[in-house]
Amino acid sequence: MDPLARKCLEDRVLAEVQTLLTEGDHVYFQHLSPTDFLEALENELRFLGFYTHSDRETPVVIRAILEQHVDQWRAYIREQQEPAVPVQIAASPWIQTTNSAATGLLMTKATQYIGFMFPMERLAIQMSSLAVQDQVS
Amino acid sequence: MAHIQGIHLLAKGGKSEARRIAEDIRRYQRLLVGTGSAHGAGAYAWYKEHLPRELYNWPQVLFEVEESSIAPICNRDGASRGYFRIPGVIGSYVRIHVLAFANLD
Repeated sequence: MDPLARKCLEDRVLAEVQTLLTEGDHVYFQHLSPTDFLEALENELRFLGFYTHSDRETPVVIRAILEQHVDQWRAYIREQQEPAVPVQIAASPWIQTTNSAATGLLMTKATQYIGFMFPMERLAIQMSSLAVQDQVS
Repeated sequence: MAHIQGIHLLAKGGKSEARRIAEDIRRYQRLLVGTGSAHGAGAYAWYKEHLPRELYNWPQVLFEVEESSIAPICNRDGASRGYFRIPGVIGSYVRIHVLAFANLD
């Protein structure tokens, strides 16, 4: 196999294995021995039609390509299985504000609270408070 | 009960071994669950209409199986990869109904 053909084959193999590792079941892969994992990849590529029945050379080259990368792929699978480390995230100031805020929020210009009501409702409240002020005065 | 047709490739393409296996498949209407699969244990086969052109000349068996007994092989987004698995324990057999063999000569 000439170098260009080998490079093309290698690119196809790497792309297919990448798909397999991305889409496949990592738990299942991790339980395969190194030999079984290699055999699984080899079988998959044959099954997908990477070479014709009469081709004797391509399977040998594919085997060499797989052996060259198999440790790296197994390391990738192991990484996917490692438990996630819990990350401490500081609570945002907004969480403190909502927790400590009084239930009756004043609608003043100075207080920049996020409105919890629709604009029309706010307007109605403001108008009714003006009406109360008029009655008092 | 719905049935689907699948194509199973025989003996990694070796024709004399394929003929020996074909005889067992024909006589007992079964496929052996082998080792070294990438999507879990089972007998693997292409949906009849999805067999890649590169595999046309491989020794193969066309068979029928109940749709409920297969596990389609899909990507994470649910897209089919064109083939399926008949789940089984490695070293055991799964039942099929043979329709035809091809490329055994």
